[in-house]
Amino acid sequence: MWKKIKNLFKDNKKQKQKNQNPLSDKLTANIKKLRTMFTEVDDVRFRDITINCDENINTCLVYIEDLIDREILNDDIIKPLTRKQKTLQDINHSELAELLSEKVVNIEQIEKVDDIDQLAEDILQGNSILLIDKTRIALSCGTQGWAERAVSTPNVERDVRGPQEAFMENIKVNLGLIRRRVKSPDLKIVSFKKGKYSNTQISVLYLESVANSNIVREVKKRINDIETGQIIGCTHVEELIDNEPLSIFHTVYETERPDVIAAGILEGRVGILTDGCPTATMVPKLFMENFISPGDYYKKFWFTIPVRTMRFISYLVSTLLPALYVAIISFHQEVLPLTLARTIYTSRSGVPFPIFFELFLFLFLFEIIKEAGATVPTSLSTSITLVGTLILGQTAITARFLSADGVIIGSITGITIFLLPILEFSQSLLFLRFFYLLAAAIAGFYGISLAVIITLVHLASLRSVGVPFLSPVAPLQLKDLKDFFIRVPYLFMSSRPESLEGKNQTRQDNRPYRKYFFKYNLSEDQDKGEGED
Amino acid sequence: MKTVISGYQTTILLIVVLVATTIFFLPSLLIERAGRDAWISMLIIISYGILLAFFYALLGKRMGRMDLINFSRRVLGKYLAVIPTITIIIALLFLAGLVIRETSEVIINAYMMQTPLWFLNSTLLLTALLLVFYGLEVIARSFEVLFYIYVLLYLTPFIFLINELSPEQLYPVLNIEVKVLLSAAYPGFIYLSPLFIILILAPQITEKGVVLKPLVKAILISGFLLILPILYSLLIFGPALSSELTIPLVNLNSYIEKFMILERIDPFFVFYWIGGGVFKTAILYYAAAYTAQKLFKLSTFYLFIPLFALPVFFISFNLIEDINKLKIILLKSIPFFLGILVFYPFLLLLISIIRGVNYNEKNS
Repeated sequence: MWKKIKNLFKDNKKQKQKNQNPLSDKLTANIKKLRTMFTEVDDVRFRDITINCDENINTCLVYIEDLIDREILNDDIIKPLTRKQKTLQDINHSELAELLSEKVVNIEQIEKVDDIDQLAEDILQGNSILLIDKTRIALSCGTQGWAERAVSTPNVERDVRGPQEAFMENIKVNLGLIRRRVKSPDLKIVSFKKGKYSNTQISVLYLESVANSNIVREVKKRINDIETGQIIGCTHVEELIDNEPLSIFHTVYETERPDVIAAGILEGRVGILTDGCPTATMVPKLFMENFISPGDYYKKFWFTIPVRTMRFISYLVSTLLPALYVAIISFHQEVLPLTLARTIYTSRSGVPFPIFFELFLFLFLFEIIKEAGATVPTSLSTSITLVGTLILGQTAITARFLSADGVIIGSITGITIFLLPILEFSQSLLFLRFFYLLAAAIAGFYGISLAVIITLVHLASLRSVGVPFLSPVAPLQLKDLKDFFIRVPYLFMSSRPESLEGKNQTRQDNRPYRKYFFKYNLSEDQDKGEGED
Repeated sequence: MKTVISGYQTTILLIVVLVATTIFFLPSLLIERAGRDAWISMLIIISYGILLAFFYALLGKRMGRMDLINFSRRVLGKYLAVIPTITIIIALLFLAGLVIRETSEVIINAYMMQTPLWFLNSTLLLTALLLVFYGLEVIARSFEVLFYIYVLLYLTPFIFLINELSPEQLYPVLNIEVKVLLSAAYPGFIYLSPLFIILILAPQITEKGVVLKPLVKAILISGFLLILPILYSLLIFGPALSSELTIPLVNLNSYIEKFMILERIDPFFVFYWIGGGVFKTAILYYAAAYTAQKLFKLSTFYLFIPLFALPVFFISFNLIEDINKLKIILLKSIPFFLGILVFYPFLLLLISIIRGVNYNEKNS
């Protein structure tokens, strides 16, 4: 009872807060208020329009010219308003806003607003506001429109067979891209406005009958709790809602592909879109997903077996190879056959640095070249690669600055990084590589063993919105392994991942397809059909 | 914070507690005493382990979802339970110290002779402390990933050496008296005593009342893993030479000649030696910290992580002079461990039966 009274009181308080700045019934007073709000804001326009009917009605259209579509404004608002209005005869002023929205203005997205602050917010979102004299209600018309690029192909997660569409900066377009793939009323889209100044729209998408309600609730709560001046982009949101923002590993999935987000939502995950960002995020993310490329689902399943194995080996090579090499050369030379040991030590003669420092230097230079190649214009990146790899590498060996074996190990390490499909994951490995290298330089295999355990403990301690990051390996979920180290044929993917603990685990019923396997006989089926006729 | 682990995770945690570091010294201790019949002594140890499992399961069942310390309080009374609880903490910390020293000794003796002992002891201890800090769930999940890799690494030398075996080295079987065989199995008691931690883990297992299954599975798998180095050592080196070896497993590993382009592969096995040592230390340390938390009725055990570090380091570094002294200490401390980790729970079970204290959900 007490709670109910308290809630009632709270609601009243909210209502009061909401209508803190109500509209006046005098147009001039409302215009004055808005002009005061937008003092020294050059791009806000106030256009007076008199509606031509029995009794001339004064109105004022307020908008930001850079955020609106001029064509919509002219054709669907200004033109109808300036025409002789036969429909507006003997009207009551209280019904004016209603009539204008229904019979005069030709905008699909139109809303009646009675609060000045809400109006200001709408103007900043690209809406055009129609203030009407002698009423306390204004019309907020959806006229957003600004210069933007068209939906383009993915740049980072490229694939030959899959869809060639990527997210863009406009959240509405992005929502449409997902809606086109999940055509169900079960797809829920809950939006939040975050950032005191940026007022950025963040939308949470999930399939109500599939997604774990605890995960959905947690995501909504975390986004709702964001208190910030501005939202820069999806990484900003990711770090604010992440379980472990200090970790080098990403526990939130980032992608530029709408098909990935749609597939994730259909599995029971929660997608998060941020306005102004061409990347979407999704939770929960599992560690093993760093080895899965969207392209795996557009190829025959057999191909995913060698590809995913290669990616896993690349991960081990790119993190451990330099460390193992340093450990063997510095601590455990006995494992090398004599001829190989002789070749290595001969090639190293004359190199002034210890093997650890040499590899550290090479990997550091490699990162510099990689970063330079990624940031400079495309026309220059070829030159950088050429200078960095061929000229610098070759000269460094000739000048005995680096040894040939060190360059080989460093180059293999560098190349294997590119096999990993998730960009954020390959970036995280940079820290692991240097950590293992340092551990190997201090204590050989012993150091590497401890470093691997420390990394593993850290990974095991991570959770993505409550789901253990190392699932389905630890804790072991045997059923979920069918789409991790390998991808089994779609026929066997009858259930959704158990690790996500979704409401509905059934993805498909396999029984109708089973008959086609191995024993499907077309002629028998045809005979049956003919007989029926 | 409620911590839960599955029955499967409990099994693999028990396996690491039973096998890690035991593989270093138990084979040589058994071969020294029972010669070519050391493997039979190992079978006796496994049988003892299964008996112990039934007994712990019986006590675990009576405890229900209650932890050992509170159960002791209910059975023995508030004040009387304090002394055995403190002794349990000391025993677990002592075992953790011994495990660290065993691991360090093997690393120094086998591969890193120049490395100072304090460095190995402190780094092993610090890594174990990190695991304890994250708690039982994280320890279990981390080891779940490593378990199969470690088992594969452990079995690799045995697969490579299968052609080197000479079965005639085992004949005649049962050449010594049963009494000698039984006494030869005596050192195995210290290595089975950490099974006690099941009583600490039991309330944290997700499946209610599942104690016996993980215990029996762990003992059988561990038994198989432990009997391998004994049999291989006897079958390759013979009983006479095997009894001279301090760590037969190291010799077996270095016996492998070539693997593809590599001249030797034994240094790679250091991965599971260290991993096993770290995880075993972490589990024992966690058990000690958790027991202390329950004893002092605190909400977390974090306070005890730095508090216990110094005594454990002292045990691992100062208490033992060298590898021979380590073996002597291991043998001398058996009655103490048997007393607190086997006899005390037995007493607890007996008194709880007499007093009718039973927290099994079905009965209550």
